[in-house]
Amino acid sequence: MEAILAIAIGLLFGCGVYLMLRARTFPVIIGLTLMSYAVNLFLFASGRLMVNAPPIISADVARYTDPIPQALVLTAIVIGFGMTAYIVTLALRGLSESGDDHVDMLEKSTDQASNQLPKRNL
Amino acid sequence: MNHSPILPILVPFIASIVLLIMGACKLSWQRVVAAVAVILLLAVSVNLLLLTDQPAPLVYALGDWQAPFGIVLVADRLAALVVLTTAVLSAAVLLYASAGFDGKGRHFHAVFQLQLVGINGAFLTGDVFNLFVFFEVMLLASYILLAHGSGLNKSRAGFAYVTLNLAGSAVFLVALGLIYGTLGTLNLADIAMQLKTVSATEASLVRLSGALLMAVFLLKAAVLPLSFWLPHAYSAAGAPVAALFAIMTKVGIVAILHVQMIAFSAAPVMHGLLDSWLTVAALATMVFAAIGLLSAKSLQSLVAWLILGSAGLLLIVPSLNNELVTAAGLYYLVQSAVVGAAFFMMTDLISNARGHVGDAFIITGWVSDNELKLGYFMLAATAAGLPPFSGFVGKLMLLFAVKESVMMPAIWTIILVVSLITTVALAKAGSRLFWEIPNDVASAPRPVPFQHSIFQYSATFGLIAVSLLLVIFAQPLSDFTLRAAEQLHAPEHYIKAVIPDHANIQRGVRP
Amino acid sequence: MIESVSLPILLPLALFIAVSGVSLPLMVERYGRKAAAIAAGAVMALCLASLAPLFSSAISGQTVIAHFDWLPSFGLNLSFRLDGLGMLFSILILGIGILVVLYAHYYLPEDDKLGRFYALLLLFMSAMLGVVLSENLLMMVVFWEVTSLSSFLLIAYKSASHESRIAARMALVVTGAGGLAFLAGVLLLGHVVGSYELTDVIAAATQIKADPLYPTILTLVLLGAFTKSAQFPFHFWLPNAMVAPTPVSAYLHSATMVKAGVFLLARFYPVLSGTDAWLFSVSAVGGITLVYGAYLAMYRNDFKGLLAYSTISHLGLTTLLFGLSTPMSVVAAVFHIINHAIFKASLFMAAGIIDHECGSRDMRRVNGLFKMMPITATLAMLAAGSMAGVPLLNGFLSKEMFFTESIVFQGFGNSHWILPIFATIAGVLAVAYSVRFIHDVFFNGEPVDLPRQPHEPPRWMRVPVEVLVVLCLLVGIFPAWSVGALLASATGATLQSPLPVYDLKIWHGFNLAFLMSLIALAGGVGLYMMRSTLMRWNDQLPTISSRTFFERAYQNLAAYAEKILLIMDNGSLQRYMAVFFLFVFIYGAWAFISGDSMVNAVSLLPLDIASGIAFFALALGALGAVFMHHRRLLSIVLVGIVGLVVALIFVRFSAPDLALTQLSVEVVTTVLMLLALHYLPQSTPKESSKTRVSRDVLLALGIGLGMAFVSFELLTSSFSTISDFYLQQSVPGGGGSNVVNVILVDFRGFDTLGEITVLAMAALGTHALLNQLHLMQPMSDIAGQLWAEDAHPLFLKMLMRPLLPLALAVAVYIFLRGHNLPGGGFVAGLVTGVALILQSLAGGFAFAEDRLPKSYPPILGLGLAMAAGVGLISWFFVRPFLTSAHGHIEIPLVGDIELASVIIFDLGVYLVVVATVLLILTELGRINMKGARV
Repeated sequence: MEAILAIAIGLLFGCGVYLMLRARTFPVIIGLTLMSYAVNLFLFASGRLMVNAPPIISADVARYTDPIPQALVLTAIVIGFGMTAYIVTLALRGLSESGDDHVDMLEKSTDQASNQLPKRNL
Repeated sequence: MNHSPILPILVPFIASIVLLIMGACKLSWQRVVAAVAVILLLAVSVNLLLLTDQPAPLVYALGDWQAPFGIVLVADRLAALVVLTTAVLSAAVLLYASAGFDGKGRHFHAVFQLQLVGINGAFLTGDVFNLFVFFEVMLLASYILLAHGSGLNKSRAGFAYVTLNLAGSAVFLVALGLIYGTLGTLNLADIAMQLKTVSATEASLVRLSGALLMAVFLLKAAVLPLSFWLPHAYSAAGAPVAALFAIMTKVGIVAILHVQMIAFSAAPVMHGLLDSWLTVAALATMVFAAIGLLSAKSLQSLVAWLILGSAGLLLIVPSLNNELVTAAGLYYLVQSAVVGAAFFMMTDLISNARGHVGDAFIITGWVSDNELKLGYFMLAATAAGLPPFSGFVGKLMLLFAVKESVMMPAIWTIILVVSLITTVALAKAGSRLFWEIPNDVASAPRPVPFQHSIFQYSATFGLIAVSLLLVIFAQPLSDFTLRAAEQLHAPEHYIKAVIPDHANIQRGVRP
Repeated sequence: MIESVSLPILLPLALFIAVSGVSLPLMVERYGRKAAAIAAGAVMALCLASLAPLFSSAISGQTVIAHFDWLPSFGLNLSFRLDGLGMLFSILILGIGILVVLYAHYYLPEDDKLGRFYALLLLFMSAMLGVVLSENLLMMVVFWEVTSLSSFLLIAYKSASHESRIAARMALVVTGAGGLAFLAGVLLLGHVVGSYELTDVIAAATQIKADPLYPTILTLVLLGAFTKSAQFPFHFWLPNAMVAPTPVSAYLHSATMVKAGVFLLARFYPVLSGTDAWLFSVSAVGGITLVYGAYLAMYRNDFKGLLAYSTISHLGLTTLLFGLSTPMSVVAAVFHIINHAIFKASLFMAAGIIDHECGSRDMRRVNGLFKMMPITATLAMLAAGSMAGVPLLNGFLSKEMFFTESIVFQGFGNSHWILPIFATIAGVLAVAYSVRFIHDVFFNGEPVDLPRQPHEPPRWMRVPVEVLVVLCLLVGIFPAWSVGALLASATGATLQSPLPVYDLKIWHGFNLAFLMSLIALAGGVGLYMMRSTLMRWNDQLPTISSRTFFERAYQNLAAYAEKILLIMDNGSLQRYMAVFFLFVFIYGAWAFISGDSMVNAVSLLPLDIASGIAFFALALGALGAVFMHHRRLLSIVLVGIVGLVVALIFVRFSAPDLALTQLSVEVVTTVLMLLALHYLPQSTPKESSKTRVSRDVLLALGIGLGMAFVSFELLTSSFSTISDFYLQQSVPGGGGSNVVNVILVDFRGFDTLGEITVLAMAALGTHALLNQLHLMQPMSDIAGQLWAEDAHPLFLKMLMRPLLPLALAVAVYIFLRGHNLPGGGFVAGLVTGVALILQSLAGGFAFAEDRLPKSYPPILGLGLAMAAGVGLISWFFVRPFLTSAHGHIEIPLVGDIELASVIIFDLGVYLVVVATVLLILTELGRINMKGARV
């Protein structure tokens, strides 16, 4: 079981890395998602694997899995969600400004004007 | 109960809550709240600095759960120093932004305060997972601030910055998984103790965890070859935001210093993790920054390269692991943050005075403002490390401190040559911005004289004044950084303060 | 020799006066030019006055030292020193400074208010004074660099002129670079000696010369001296600096800036001299500069340029004398420093007057001025005579000493004849250019169409020249009486050993040296006669303007830098990511391999079929997402499958909370991605090259395999952990039986506070980013299917309405049980959010907008406030932030609830999550509406 989880983690990492190296925002985001699955699984695995031992205290159970990695993964999932939401909107913003979804947003290169307008002042 | 260590986090946090609840209140009211918060932050930071000036750091156990079980904040001298530096910068940045920049998009003030929460949290926390959380708070806030305003530049630099940092966060989590999975703890002091007894069977995983953790910090600290994002992000950000970012690369360095000095340096298992190669990478970063300086096309990107150069110089500190070098580095850190921030603001002032040409190195001969010239000259001299400014004092201290190192000839040569290149580039830039007059003077329409806000002026020159104070008070400050370095290089006090009774901590073997 | 004197405090005081006086001219500028001049002059006079009481001790050979600690740990202290050498230079700096102040007032145009000029001049003067009064060598470097900086500003005073700017930058670069070398040299010196105080360094001279670092130190210090004193091959900045206003030239290039270099030679003479390295390098550089400068001076048509090259030559002479390093040659060197300062300052000022009156400095046009301005001409001719070494003038005396020294010097062994010949040639050349200056400017026919009609300058403009020329005569005729004491004490301080026996008088009899002088005079006049032939020959030589060269060098440097930068950083995120991953991979692999290898001693869990199938689904989903990533909708679905499998893995390995969270996050993320895909292009173009793809595949394989290996290693090793504490303390200490939840809201509640802050910020960021964003509705089919024209079909509405209360009830249930069973604020928040979003999807965003809150940020704030507020309450119980309290409460239907204060915390989490989900999704929906309107 450990081996297959390890392979799954490695596979997700590999797929995530490959997609994150693509040239368009969308596959990069997909890659990030896969990568965060991989990371969460890895972090989870740091507590080692236990079957049927949820860390919910009850009088008749003596064996619990390690609760710390679970708490950490929960935090990581939530943060990951926030980050995904943000980067998705950032990609949309880039799309609206460059007219393309290339990660380098080079297509419409004449943005100088908006950047150099006299800045507002009180 | 002394709550001082958490105040630098709570003050901006509560301010951001107030700002959020106020919602779409008038900007002027938001400014008042933000200003009160920053003044309070200054006060609590000064207070913290005074309190922490003792051998043992202040420890604050959140939720009253003692380390290593609960999260602790540990305010050592280093943390207090950088918290105060951040407070000073934030006051200036807020003042500057309140001249109108804050109204260029939504939620500036709330996110600004949260940015401070993230930075101060990252400085103060004594728990590596909590450090991750604060890094994320800091980063997300910086993403939002970077995008504040509009323009394709910002989106482009922002997307690269966000994506790289998300990859960095992934590596951070892997490192944390490895740390927890081998040492069974997340508290830095506990990690330090556990590392001393790492068994041979775990050595390679533990080393990997250390390397990954350092890789993430080094990404934030912008060491070559992880530094490409910085010049783009810092030159695309709005000036006040870039000014605040002057402290952001320093967060990476401070994290490296904390982890390296307190946990790694005494552990045989981490041997050679940084010192074997980081000096070379740091020097390469400086050279890269010098190359960037020479090819910069606008003042803000030039200043961004300066920030990178100072980041490279600072990375020498963890690579040498020497008390005097650390002390010198801390002085340099403070002064370069202040000067970098002031320089970004000055860039904006100059850019405003030049109208639509902005800060691009296009010859106009339009800037006749003597204050701007004087300010630029002082900042340029400081950044180039010329006396009698704080940049020189910092550089001199570092040069002095590294003289015992085997790398001394290389470090000296590169620091001095980069100084010279910086001087050349800044002199040329100043000449182009202020002195040169185009051949066809009449053809280009001169911009309407621009009335700078008193806020912007006082923020910029206030920071310049601070940098001069850093020279005048170099002695007390360097004494403090010496004590801070001493504390870092004798981590027993830190560990003892966080975990008084390490031997009696109950641990269970898994699986 | 060193004796503490009661008045050492006057030393820092003088510098303090100088530095604080810098801004004075600027402040009084509004009262007129005269006020600015008086202010500047007064500052200098005051400095001189405060130093004067110390001069008697310096004359008597004592050294006055004032010391204050500044950065003792780093060697930098404020310590000052006044000895004979310092005194000599202080007098030159301040004395000639005052004359320059007076002169500049008349020289600079009327429309210049002079405040800035005098401020810069005072700044420069302070720095020079600092250099010569420093006891701490690092402090000397500080002032040294300030002289470079302030001279940069002075040379660029006429900043509108192209030449000025380049000349200023050239001076800055050359002298700045030398300054950096000097800094390195001083640091090394201090390293060898263990102190940066000059007294200690001088005392350790023998040790320094024996140190293996000595050659390096010598090279670095000499680089500093040679660049500043414009020695060959660093001389080129000086002639260019002549674009500065003449008062600046008179000050910088006679008595101060360039003299700082020879001052350095004098200062370090007792420390570094006495070796062959010193002898040969210093005298060779000095000798070459002496002849080369004199030779070039002959060909200048610009008389200020002639003076500039002459300055280079005379500095070379001084350097050569220091290089010979006999006590007598040092006497001659110090004497020549004095003499050159006096006659060169007066010459520059006279040249300025002529320039001012004629509007030209070209000796082919400026002729025959003697008739028009006889007084100035006489003064200038006297000074030029001194420069040529004509008897009865001060220049003659030190040159005579040089000739004598060149004859008696034995240091070069068999080649000792070289020196006298060299000296004579230099003498001939000096006479030639001096004669040219005198003859061309004041005689040689009539002026050739000058812009202005020259006549005598204003009375007071000539006074500084008169004073200096009188000094030339005084020193020349009564040397012992006028400068004997000063020279003796300065030389004594330089040598740091007893003075040689010498005789300062105008006539030493008919000797070989006098013969050399005669040859020089006659030869010089002869050379001048042949000038037209020489000029013609010289004109044929290729000329290269150092200015063009410098500017081109900078441009080339910048161009190279740009090229290298483009190679290193092509601006592409793909490159950055690849470099980052590669870095992490290599660094990680190195760290891993360099550690001890692993021993795996843990028994593995058996593999079951269900897990095998799940793995298969995960692999299919992940690989599918990679291979099908060009088809975007499909890849969202495939990633969704992976997410589901991840949730299943959490279930399988005893993590129900994680599974629940993963599932609900998965739903929201998928909705988010679908909404985003609505605007993004529907497919990814295939544009990666083969090499790019194979590079990325390699990288992905490396990291994937590495992580699989590391995961396996980790999973199969055992470790000791603190986690038992949580299992034991969860119920008694945290009041909840769901340990994960108790960790989240209590043990590590601070993390959760940070986590919801991130969520809230993600919402704020989205809100900020999508402000006034317009995107066109895509036309493609896939989008059409997703967002059909009838986007809100009736049946969906009918289905969703009753579902909402149900979903909310579930959310409440999940929320309340969270502390004891899987659930909690986060999952409850997501459920609520999703329910509300589905509702709005069914009813349309316009429908939802009427029913949902108008503004979410206050709700985010409220949520954060609840979470933080409950943490703050603990302060009233003298407990740290986020300390919890708990007790039991009976709630109908739900049952016995262990109600902890953290429930309010969790409620805060809930609010933040709901507001975040709603804000992000409705914001994305709103673009839709705007897009439709556009």
